Amino acid sequence: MGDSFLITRPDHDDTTRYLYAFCEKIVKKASQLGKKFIDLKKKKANLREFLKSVKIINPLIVILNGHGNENVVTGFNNQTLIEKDRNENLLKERITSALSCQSAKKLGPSAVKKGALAYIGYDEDFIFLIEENKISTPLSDKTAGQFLNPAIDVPLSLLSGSTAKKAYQTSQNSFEKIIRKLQTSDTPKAEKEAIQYLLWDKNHQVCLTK
Amino acid sequence: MKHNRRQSTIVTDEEIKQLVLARLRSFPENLKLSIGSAGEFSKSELISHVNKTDEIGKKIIKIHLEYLKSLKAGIFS
Repeated sequence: MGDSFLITRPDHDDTTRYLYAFCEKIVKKASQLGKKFIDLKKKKANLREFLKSVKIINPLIVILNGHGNENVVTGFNNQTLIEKDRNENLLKERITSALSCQSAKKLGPSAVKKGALAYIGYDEDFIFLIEENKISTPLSDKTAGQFLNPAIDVPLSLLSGSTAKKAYQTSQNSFEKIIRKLQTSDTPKAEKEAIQYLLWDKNHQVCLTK
Repeated sequence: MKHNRRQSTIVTDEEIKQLVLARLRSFPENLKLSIGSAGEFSKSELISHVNKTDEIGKKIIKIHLEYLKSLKAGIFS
């Protein structure tokens, strides 16, 4: 299996375009580290390509970005990629990082029960603030970055060789750091608005292991 | 005979809703909140959903309530 990885990066709506943009950092880091990986970006984040890629590369790490619910994680145009009681066995012997709403509520535990090494995701909706005038240039959106940068610390840490628990803790620490910074009296009131939503994401991020 | 009456405070759903609406008034006009596949919502849209107490509205209320419980638990001290 080695330490290869697979990443999905759909970009069919504003939310997934943000994930797509911020996850570019993961792909860049992987290239710098000389990692073997498949980047299923944009329309390629579909079920056919996903299944093919899992077979080709047999990834140790699976990085899923996209919409979801308690039972599924989706790809481009919300096509289901992984579904509880259908194909979560694909995650067996792999570490999954899922930036996807709610999937750690049922899909994640089921995947671990069926042999996944770890599943790091969210057991509620992942929410983030967007600056309206930055929608077309997500990476310039510092407000969204406060949410997405801590979130992608999970896959970035995994790529650096961290265990699932360490990667989760790194991400938790990043959320905590931003929350504490926003709490200082110097922070303008409007910026403090992010605190409650950051806390939500931090509290609902979970690391499920064997 | 004296009766010691303990007054219990019950917060109604309507009071919680009004509390969240009051909090949403400080939501910046230039921001939107992305809530998964439900979409991205401006301040006026968030307020509208909370007023309707539909699925999105209930979600927003839940988020704010969780934050308020954290404050009460002293998580930031």
